[in-house]
Amino acid sequence: MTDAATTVDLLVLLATGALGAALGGLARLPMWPITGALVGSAVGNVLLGTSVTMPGGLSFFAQVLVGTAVGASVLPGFLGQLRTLILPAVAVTLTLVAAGLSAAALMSAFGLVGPRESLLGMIPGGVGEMVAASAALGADSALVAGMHVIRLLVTLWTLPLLVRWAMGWRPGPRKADSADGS
Amino acid sequence: MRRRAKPARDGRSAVADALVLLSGGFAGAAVLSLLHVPAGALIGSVLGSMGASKAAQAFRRRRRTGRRTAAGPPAPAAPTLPGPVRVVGQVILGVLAGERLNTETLTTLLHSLVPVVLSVVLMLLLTLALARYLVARRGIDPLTAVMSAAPGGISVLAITAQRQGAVMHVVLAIHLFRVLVVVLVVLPLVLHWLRAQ
Repeated sequence: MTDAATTVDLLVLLATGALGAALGGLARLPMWPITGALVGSAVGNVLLGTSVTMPGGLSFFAQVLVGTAVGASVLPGFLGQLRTLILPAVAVTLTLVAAGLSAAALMSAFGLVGPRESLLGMIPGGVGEMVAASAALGADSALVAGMHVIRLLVTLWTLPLLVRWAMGWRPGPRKADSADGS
Repeated sequence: MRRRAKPARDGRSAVADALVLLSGGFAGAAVLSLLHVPAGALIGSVLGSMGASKAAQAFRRRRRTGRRTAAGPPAPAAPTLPGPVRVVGQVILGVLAGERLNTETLTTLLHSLVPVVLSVVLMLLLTLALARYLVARRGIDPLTAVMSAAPGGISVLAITAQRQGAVMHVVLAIHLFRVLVVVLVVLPLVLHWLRAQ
C-alpha cells in the first residue's frame, strides 16, 4: 500500500472515529469521546475494509493530551482540601483498587482475560488513563475500554438505588470539611 | 476599545495557559519515555503538567507582588486547560482501540461480561460500606458519601453529583485523589509486575 493510500485510510479512520464520538455525545453514551470513537472507527474499519497500522506517535500524542488534562485538574486548593479528607480518600482508594486488583487476578487466573487486560480493565482509575496505559503497553485497548464501559454503565444504573438506600442514614459527628461545602 | 480588548486578552491568556501546560506535559512525557519508564508518556505528562502549573503560579505570584494591596497580593490563578484538549486525546485513544477491535476481542468481552458485572456489583457493595463509614465516622452527608465512594468516572459522577446537590469539592477531591494514586502509584507497580512476568 502506498504512503498516500495509508494516509487516506488513517484520515478515514480518524474521521469516522470523530463522527462516532459526536454521535456518542448526542446519544449521551458514558465516556462518549472514547466509546463513540471506538465504535465509529471500528465501523469505518469494517465498512471501508481499511488495513492501516496506526503511527506510534499518535498513541504518544493522545496519552500526553489525557495525562496533561489529569495534571492540569490538580488546582491550587486541592492539597488543602485533601488534608481534611485524607482518611476518607485513602479508604475509598485502597478499597476500590484492592477490589479491582482481586477481581483482575481471579479473571486472569481462570483464563477469562489476559493479565494485562484484566488488570488495566478492572482497576478503577480513569477510563482514558487506563486505555492510554493499555495503548502504551500494546495490550488490547478495545477490550480494556469495553470492561471500563461495563463498570461505568452498571455504576450509573445502580447509583440511584444506592443513594435512595443511603438517604436513611443519619450523619455522625462531623470530622471532614464537608457539610456546608465551604 | 476596552470592551474588545478584554476578551482578546482572555483568549491570549487561555492559549498561553494551554501552551504552558502542554509544554510541561510533553516535556515530562519525553523524559520518562526516553528513560524507558513503562507508560512514561502518560505518567510523565501528568507530572510534567503539574510541575508546569506550579511553575506558572509561582511566576505569576512573583509578578503580582508589585501590586500588593492592604489585603495582600491577589492569589495567582492556576493555568487551566481547555476541555477539548482532553476530548481530542480521548477520541484518538478511542480510534486506536476501535482499529484493533475484532471478533476475538468481542468474544472475550462477551465471555467476561458476567465476571466483570459481578466484580462491579461487589465494588458497589463496598461503595455502600465505604459510604456508611463516611457518613457515620466522618460526618459526610449520605448523598456526598455515595457519590465520593462510587467507582465511576470523575466527569460522569461530577455531573450526577452536582445535579443531585452533593458537596462537590468533597466528591471531586476524593475522585481526583483516586485517579492520581492509580496513575502515579498503582499503574507503575502493576506495569513493573507485568514486565517481570
